[in-house]
Amino acid sequence: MSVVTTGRNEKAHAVEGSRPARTPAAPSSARRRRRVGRRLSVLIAQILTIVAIVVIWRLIATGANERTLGTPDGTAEEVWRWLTTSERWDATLYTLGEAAAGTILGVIVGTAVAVIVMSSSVLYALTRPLLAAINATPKLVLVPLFILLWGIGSNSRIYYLSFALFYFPFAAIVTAYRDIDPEIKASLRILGASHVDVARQLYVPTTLAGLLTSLRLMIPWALAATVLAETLVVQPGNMGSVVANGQALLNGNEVLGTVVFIALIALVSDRIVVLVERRYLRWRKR
Amino acid sequence: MSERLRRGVLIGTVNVVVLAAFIVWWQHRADSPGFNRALIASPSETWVTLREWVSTGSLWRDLWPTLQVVVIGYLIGVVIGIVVGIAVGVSQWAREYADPFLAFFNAMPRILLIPFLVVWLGYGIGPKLILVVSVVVFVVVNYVQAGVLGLKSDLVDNFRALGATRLHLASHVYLPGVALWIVASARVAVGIALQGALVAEFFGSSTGLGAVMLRGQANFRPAEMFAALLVMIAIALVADRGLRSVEHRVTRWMPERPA
Repeated sequence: MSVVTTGRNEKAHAVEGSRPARTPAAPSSARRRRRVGRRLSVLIAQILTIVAIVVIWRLIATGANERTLGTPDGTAEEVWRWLTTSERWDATLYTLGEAAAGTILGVIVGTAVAVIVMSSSVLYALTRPLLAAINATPKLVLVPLFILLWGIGSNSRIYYLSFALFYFPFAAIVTAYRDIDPEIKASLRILGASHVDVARQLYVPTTLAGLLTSLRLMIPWALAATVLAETLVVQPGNMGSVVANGQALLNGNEVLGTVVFIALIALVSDRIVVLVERRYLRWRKR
Repeated sequence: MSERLRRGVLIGTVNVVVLAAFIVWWQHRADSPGFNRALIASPSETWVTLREWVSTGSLWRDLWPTLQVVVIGYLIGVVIGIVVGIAVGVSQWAREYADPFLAFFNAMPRILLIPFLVVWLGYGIGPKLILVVSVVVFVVVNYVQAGVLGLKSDLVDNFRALGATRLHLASHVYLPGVALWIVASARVAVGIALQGALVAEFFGSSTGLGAVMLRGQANFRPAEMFAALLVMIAIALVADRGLRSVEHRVTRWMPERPA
């Protein structure tokens, strides 16, 4: 499996490498103490920053307009409501389900397009202008078009998401394929690997690595786009309806709380992808 | 070379033929009975609208606010991005400090706050600028940080050994190194700024191409929406092409191109 150490891998090391480069192989206790000290000062500074933001926000809101500016406590309350109310959980799961379905469909479409297009250089050159145009299109403004074409249900949102997202995995896979060292491919062939072997040993892992990379870019985008699409056609039972309600009544807490909650979901999902990626990369290095 | 040229011409021809066939098919579909003209415009209607915009000058009038938002927002985003990017690139303390905040704000669906930004700052350029800046900054920070981390530490050490202060280092090593990465990141950042500006106009503005699109949609005049969309795509493609060649020219000598 070690054949697939692509350039991407080495690049990641090069960036990370600047950190361990300064620390010797066996960290002395003084060095460790200094690191702990830095961690502590970072943590204190972060806490102070958050406290400062909360205090300033609270003061401005009290002075200006609590309703539209929202308040830190009101926003926290709203996040808490998302975490503890069963209705809100249903809405969250519904929205996440839509986002996941759209993302999966987008990944399938993007992978298929990438594999087909990369299979021949003529096809790649032929489709490049079209794909560049799709990439350049501001996709968020196309939500209403999809609602017009496929109705106001979940389906239109899922189709929309897959259209809006497919370029991420497509671009990642194309880049990963172009990073493949032609010598590795040639060596595999010389060593007697069949086309199927090359596909399985070289292209499948490369594709998966590209997909994982693109997934991290897709998650925040998918969540934002799903909720935005939901706010345009208000139906109860999803996160978008809560946001739309807050926007219509200019209830700052409701919208800010939801936005913060979505950010938390995105961060947690990102951590999960990173863990999967690490696990996967470790398996690959062996 | 002539082989490549022939190939390019061939591919260009095929592309034009496919595009022409698609337009003819679309027109044919639009002319046939049962087609919902309130939702989808035909190519000829779109063309008529575009020509009208050009002849009355309204195209430029609607385009100007959009471009203004893109350019100003991009510039502000680049300045903030350079400062933050150098800070988190140079100092590990700053990096550890800023990481959670950057991750959080990047994960936030900022577009949902547009109606509130409009309430706070009015229907002017403010809300749009904030959205554009908030998307551009992250791209620039990523590139600049990678650029600073990628600078040869030998170079920095030599400067230090020759008695350079932090300020010297910043002005003679980091800034020139980073300027390169700003150019390299311009393609991605400008593209994203353009999208941000259009989205902001679409969801909370009375001026600009995004607002024109929304009006066309709301008034069941799909030709206006399609024409606006075409203009947007054309601008995005031209900007992408132009900046791609700039990027290529600037980064050609680099052993590792920016990802």
